[in-house]
Amino acid sequence: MGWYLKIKVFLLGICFLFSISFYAQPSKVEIIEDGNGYTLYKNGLPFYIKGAGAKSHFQLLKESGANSIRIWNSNNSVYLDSAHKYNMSVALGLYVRPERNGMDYNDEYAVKGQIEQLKTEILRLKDHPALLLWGIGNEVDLRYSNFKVWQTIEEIAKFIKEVDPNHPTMTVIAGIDPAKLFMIKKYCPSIDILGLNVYGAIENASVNIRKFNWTKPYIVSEWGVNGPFETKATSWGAKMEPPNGYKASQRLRRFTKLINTDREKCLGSYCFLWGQKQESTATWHGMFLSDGSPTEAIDVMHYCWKGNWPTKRAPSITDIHLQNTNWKKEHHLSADTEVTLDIEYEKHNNDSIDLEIHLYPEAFTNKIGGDRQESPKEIPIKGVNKNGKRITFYTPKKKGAYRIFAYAKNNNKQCSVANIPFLVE
Amino acid sequence: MIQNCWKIAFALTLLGCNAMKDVSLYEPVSSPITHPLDNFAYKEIFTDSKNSGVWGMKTHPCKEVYFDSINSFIGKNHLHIIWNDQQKCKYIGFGFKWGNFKGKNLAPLIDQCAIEFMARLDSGELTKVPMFFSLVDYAGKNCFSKINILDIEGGKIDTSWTKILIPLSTFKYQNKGVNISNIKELRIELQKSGNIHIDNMKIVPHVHDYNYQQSLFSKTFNTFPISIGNEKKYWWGINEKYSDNFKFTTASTFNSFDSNSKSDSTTILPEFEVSLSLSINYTKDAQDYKWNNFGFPINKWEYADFSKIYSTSAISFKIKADIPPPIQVTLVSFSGKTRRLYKIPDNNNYKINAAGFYEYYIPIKSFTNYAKFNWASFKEIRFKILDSCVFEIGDFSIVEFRGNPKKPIRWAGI
Repeated sequence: MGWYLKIKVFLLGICFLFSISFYAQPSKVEIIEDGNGYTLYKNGLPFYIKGAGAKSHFQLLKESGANSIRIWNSNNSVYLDSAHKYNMSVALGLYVRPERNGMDYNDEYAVKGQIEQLKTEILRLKDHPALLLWGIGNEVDLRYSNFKVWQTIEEIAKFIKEVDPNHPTMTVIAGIDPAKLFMIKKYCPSIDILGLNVYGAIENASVNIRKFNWTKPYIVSEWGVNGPFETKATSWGAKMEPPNGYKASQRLRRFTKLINTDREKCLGSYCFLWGQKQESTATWHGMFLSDGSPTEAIDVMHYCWKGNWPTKRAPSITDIHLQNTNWKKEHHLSADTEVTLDIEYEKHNNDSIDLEIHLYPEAFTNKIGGDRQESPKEIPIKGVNKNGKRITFYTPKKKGAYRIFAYAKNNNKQCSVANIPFLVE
Repeated sequence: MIQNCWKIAFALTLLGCNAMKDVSLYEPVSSPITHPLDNFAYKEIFTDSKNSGVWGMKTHPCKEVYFDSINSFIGKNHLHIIWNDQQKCKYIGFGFKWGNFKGKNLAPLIDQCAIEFMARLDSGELTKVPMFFSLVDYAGKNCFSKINILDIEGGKIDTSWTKILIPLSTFKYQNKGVNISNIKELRIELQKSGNIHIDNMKIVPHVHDYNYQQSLFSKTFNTFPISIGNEKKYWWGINEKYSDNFKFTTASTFNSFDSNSKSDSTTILPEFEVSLSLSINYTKDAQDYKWNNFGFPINKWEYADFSKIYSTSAISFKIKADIPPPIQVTLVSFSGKTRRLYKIPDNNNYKINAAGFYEYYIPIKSFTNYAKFNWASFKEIRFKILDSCVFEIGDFSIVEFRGNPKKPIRWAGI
């Protein structure tokens, strides 16, 4: 090996080591207040959070214009690595067990154990280059009765202040309430940012946060369409889910008129949910179907983050009728009877749209918040006939509560969904 | 010589008397202090396949439990458990026959013993394991506990054998109705995924040095009158940076017309910054029209227990205005199915003290569904301005009321 080659290898080695050390550097994240309000700075540059609650589809997320993801616990650090791969940051959740899931905040052993456990997570992940901020607890206030939980939140936040000067602390609450905000101000001085999970409550969130005396910045940590808990139910307890087209308009308005307009206190937002989950139905909050197909909600977020629509858009179901009655009304049907389903949709820039229907038993649940729910199993449908935007099918022979789903898909697997619950009597 | 001997004997007798001690009739016999575990016959839960019974070892898609003879802590083998809940199995777990399923009385041990075992991993390290320990009685009832980082020796489980304790008192058997004096078996339930070796499981003496402290976030109210809304720091809805619809008035007009006013800041709460009233100038078509409500807590945003007095209570406040303003009063509870009670006061709810001075009384019983409200967790009072108006409001209190809820001002008691 000649001297020239040796020097070249040496210099390459130096560059490699430098790049490794640069890669491993944590971001320096700060909140700076000036006369106009609060701004989040990442490595010295303003950073407005365009984020999503996400654990998958990172490439599409990045392409749609997002710069951050939110995850709810620190169990799987692979999400941080994946986000970093796509040059996105992470609002990392530290799972603080809520009272509604059996945690007893009077039990010193359980409380101290939880705190010590989370301290190990903080030390393990504090220097990850994708880390943007810590989310200490998610909706610990939902149906809680013991205010001691705020002491736990503070103890964790205080520990972060001691060991990690690079990342701000946030705690996330379900909705806005003056009592909760007072408690957080009183018991959690080490919390820098309030995270708000607001669905219907987003309409007045920016006013209420000021009314309720929150003086620090906030992040809309979960937002989207109105949740099942805010929606009308049938007499048999099935929630009435609006069609995707209706939900898309709601998302668009909420981002452009409510979130993006409050630059004084709001540091950005995380839409819910860049993925799929069962929450009353399989399609309520998820922007993808269970088979991974993106819905029109993805296009809406693309518009919100980039200011323009994607080249290829999903169709949009704007309304759906079962037996000539739309999704806002109750449907009582006879067993084993042929019925009609009419699906109204916008084609957008698609040449052709394929319609499909799927039938499921109603998934009744008493779960709340983000608690895990079981998905029901699909039921075969008899006598399906398609005729334009109308599909006929036979109701099940067995009495009970069901839900019929209609899918409008383009040749790019982008889709829009709507459903109607019905009761077979 | 003989005389001297007598002298010596007498002296020795005196000395002996001096050294005498009080002796009780029955001296206690000292015995060694015994630990309740000494008399417990089932200390060993698992040592190896030869000496301990384990059920639930059949392999299925979510779980594999087998006796591993490589690198055991004690005996000829140990348990290696590998599980993964991806297949959504209904139950993933196994159990120890523990004394061949004989009924075991853990009551004497519950506060002084723990389950101890050794654990190790094939690689990496863990501070928590998604496995739950369950004590099952002969009625099939079970209570749970889990590994707490505070009782993992060294604070983590790695590839070396690590001692772990599960204090028996953490099983909270009373909450689950488990008969702790007749325990059949110990089960381990598995969640999510994991891969762990465990060995040498037994009951050992243990001092569990953690407290259980009841929370104290509640105050019970039993007597009248109750002065409320006196401390500005607890109010919400007033923020002059964004809206001047509501302003605190430190020099209230109420004292001037009512010499018996109970809201004298200097005597009630001299240590706080007290406002006696709120000045309201609301225009419903203005840009800040959403700033139309305000409120304050009954008990510093903690629970106010009114369960003993709510039915004989009325909300009282004063208003200075040209005409009674259009307002809605809302009572809010922390919990319960009916969390809010609404009332729009009418002319039965106020009396005129002087020109433009109105004294309001809103009996609790006049709120629709008041009986469904959780009065043990009374939270706050809210006021909503329903239309454009100008007025001053203050001197809030809860007073005794025993009259007709529909005609409160006719009651002689106010």
